[in-house]
Amino acid sequence: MHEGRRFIGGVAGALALACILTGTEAAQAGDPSHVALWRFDMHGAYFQGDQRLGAGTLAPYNGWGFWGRAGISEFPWKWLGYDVLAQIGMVGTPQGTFDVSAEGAVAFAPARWKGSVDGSIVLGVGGGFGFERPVWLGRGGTGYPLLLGRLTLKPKNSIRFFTSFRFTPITSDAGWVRSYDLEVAGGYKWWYLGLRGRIDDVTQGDPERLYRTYWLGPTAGLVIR
Amino acid sequence: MSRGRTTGFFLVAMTLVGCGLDPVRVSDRVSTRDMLLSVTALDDGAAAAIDVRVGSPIGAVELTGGDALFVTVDGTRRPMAEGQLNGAPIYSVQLDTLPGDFLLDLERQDDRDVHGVVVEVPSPFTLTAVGLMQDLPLTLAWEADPEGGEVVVTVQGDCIDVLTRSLDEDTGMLVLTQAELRPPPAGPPLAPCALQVSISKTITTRDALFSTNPGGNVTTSVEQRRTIAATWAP
Repeated sequence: MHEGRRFIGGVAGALALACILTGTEAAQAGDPSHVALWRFDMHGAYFQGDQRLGAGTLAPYNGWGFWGRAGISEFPWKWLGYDVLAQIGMVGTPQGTFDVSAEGAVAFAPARWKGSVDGSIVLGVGGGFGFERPVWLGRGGTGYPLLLGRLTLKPKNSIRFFTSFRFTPITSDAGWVRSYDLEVAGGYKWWYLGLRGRIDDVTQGDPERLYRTYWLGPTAGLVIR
Repeated sequence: MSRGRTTGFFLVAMTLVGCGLDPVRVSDRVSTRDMLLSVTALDDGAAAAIDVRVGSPIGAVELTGGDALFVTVDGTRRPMAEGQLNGAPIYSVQLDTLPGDFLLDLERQDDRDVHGVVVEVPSPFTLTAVGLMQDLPLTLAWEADPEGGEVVVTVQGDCIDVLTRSLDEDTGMLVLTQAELRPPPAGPPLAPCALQVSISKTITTRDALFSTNPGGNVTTSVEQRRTIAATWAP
């Protein structure tokens, strides 16, 4: 009896939460708060850091990478949407040359506002699949969870700034791997330029150590929506 | 922002990222399981020295962060002092003699220790040389030791080419005729010539530090060398 009531209560709570997130109206095209973001860009980065050699030796390494990326963040409902990002590129190290990944997330827009500066905050939870990062871990494919956040500011109709953060933690046989990705960009009309930095951390080895790789490079892209 | 400012900002940012990295080749960055301990020792009859170099996948290693090497010779444990050789760190102990096998320890603050690596030492010996009078050959004698390692005889002097001979077995004796002491191409001097005669016994080994893979390695090369002077009138 108690279990039945608990089930009904759970379903009612889930429906209530769904109603709150989806709202009673769909997000409008051309919404000035701009939670939606469709974009295509090119990103190049230099990296350096430490890779593991042997059982547990920190060995300096460096290289470069170059990617083309396409991302869509869309909100069919007022507070609830999705965010997908795919990238394909090259990584210039002895261990690997080709790089590809695809990520998707359920996105929430907990804050969106209009005023002298329109803006929005988007948070997302999802996952992705791609080659292992950093490349010295190997060239096998791996799945990973994804947490993301994005702040968009639009002081004028033709000017847009956004900064996005993506966190991808992986626990595998290779150890405790996580990637912190921060991008800051500013655009005028259809175009934008930005700077993207990433830190790949791997904790593993004997003795257990932190192997960190820093990435930094420019981004140039096109905002379609 | 101008193109120049953008480029400058990028270069400054990359420099800051680079400055955040630790220096290389310190033992804090190297696992004991990746280390190659290279031990060389020499007892020339007058003095002895033990040297250890620490290698790794990233090159020669300087022991830092409290990491240290010790040797135990004849029951006495001694710390090894750091020096430099050809730009790489080397750890040494100076002794009067190498009376027998000694032990090597590597103690680390944040990694596995290595204790009690036995380094084999050839038995000390005494070299005697007689002959080279009139037509007599040069007769060398020393204490034979079948387990004493590779034996090499060297004779050098101003009036001859260097003569080096490796022995298949430690026979404890070697006879060199005067014909074998070949004069150099320029021709022998008329005056009596001073020779340096050496017998070297060397034991070399290679072992893993741990049974794991990778498990590190220790290589040893320990030499007992005795040298005496002789005079030859060709």
